Amino acid sequence: MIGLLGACAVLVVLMEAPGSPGVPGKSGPVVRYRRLAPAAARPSASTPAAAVGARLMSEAAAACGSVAYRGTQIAVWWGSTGESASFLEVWHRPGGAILAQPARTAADSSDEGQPAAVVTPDQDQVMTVTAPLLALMRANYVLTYSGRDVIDGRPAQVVEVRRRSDGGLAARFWLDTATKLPLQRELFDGKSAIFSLDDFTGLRIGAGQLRGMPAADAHPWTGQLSAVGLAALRAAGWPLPRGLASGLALFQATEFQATETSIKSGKVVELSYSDGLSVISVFLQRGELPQRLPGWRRMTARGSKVYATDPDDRSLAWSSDGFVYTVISGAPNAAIDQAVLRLPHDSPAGFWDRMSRGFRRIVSWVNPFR
Amino acid sequence: MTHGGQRLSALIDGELDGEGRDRVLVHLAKCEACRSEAVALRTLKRRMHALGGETQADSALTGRLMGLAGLSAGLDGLSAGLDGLSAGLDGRGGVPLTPWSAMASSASSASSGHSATRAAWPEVRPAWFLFGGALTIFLAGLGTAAFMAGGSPQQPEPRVTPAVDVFVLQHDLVTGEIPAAPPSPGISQRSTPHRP
Repeated sequence: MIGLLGACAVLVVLMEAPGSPGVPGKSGPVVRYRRLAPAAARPSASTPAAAVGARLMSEAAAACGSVAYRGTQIAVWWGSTGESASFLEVWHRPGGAILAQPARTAADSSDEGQPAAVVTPDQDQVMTVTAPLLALMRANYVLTYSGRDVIDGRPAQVVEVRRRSDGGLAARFWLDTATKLPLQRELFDGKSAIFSLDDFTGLRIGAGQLRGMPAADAHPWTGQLSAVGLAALRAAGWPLPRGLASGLALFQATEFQATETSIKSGKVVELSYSDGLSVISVFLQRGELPQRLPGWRRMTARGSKVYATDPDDRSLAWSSDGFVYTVISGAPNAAIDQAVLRLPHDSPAGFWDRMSRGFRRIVSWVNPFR
Repeated sequence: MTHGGQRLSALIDGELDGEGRDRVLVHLAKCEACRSEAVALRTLKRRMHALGGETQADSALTGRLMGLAGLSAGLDGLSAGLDGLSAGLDGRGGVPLTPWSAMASSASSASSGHSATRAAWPEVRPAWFLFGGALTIFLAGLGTAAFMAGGSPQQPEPRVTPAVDVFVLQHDLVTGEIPAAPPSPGISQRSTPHRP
């Protein structure tokens, strides 16, 4: 309880802190980073700092898979409708995924009996570094060691992540000096404005800290799609793009045969895209959206008619040419915009569009692998 | 000597030898009527010769024109193909299905002097006509079918409401997060302070 109260106090400080000089218009806990040396405008992967940064992140990826720990993660999100935050209790057993549970805060204690807050998808994405994401991160960014800091009383090493294309700041990681676990992470959008901050507090290391660890409440979909499976689906007419936007390569695809009532209409294919920092998940189903979608609001942003479920438009859905697309992401809005634009949308069909669609349908009808 | 009669015709045609020719000429010198008849016969023969020469020229001209147009070659090939097809279908050989065969034969004989020109033109067999026609019909049908099939963007697909809760969960799982079972009922899910 003391730890949670401390987390609430940290959150209040985060919300009320003045804006960072490098992040105009945003409030956040970046005041204490002022002593960090300003980053170079154009990163180079061949500098000693880049070598150290890459090594530290590799050690962080290894630590995220091998170190037992628990703690409270505070996630602050700056969306189009303002700031929001979430608290997660997290546990990690070596070799397993991170178990997360919404934490009970002092504010929650005072709101007993009140309805639960609005669920905002993926604002509470756990702070971790995995090997596949690190590989994509190193492909798209330059990781540079930029100094030391102290987070929640623990010495930390800071690694900056800058875009290879223009040198813009994309993320900053604070890695625990002792264990290399990430203690804090900042994510920046394409204009180097912060949009996400994750902070660990009350971190406890060791298997002995996992007593009372709850059981998992869900399991990942097991129908992993191989390259052959993806090719077969594409041949059957499934629009499965290999990439959505610059740097967002397809790094994982999961096929799931729906069994629940809500998705009993058929197979769902999930494609996950990432640039190493953010993940965009695209779920495809055969069918079309109903005329009315309770709980969704229709919007015409991004040049197409889509439906959104949350105020920050991070869960979007639309149907096009016999498929329903659902995009869920914690990526910056600009990246989501690019991803949505790269996916198919219905538009007034001209002659050749109509012919092309007709040929595709005929091919799908006669395709024996459909 | 009586009037010349058939000897006049023989004289005009150059069929009389020396003695007979002299006798007829002596008679013509004395007989005004026979002289007039001889003049008439010679005039008639000249005109007949003239008529015969024009017919041969017309035939040659027609042959050249048909050779230039390749018509005779095409008709020859068509005639041969139809003859073969007729033989295959009817079990008879060399019976033309249409009058084209006879026309082509006559044209071919008229242009026999231009066989080299005919050989330069490829033979167009009916199988190619049939193949081309079938391909055209197939493509036209496929295009029509594609146009019809692509007409409505709304296929008769099932209505699907995205299971966004399931998808969010799966999205979190992909990022390495697994939700834990709730420890006890009555705990709120999340806190969203400062949301306008």
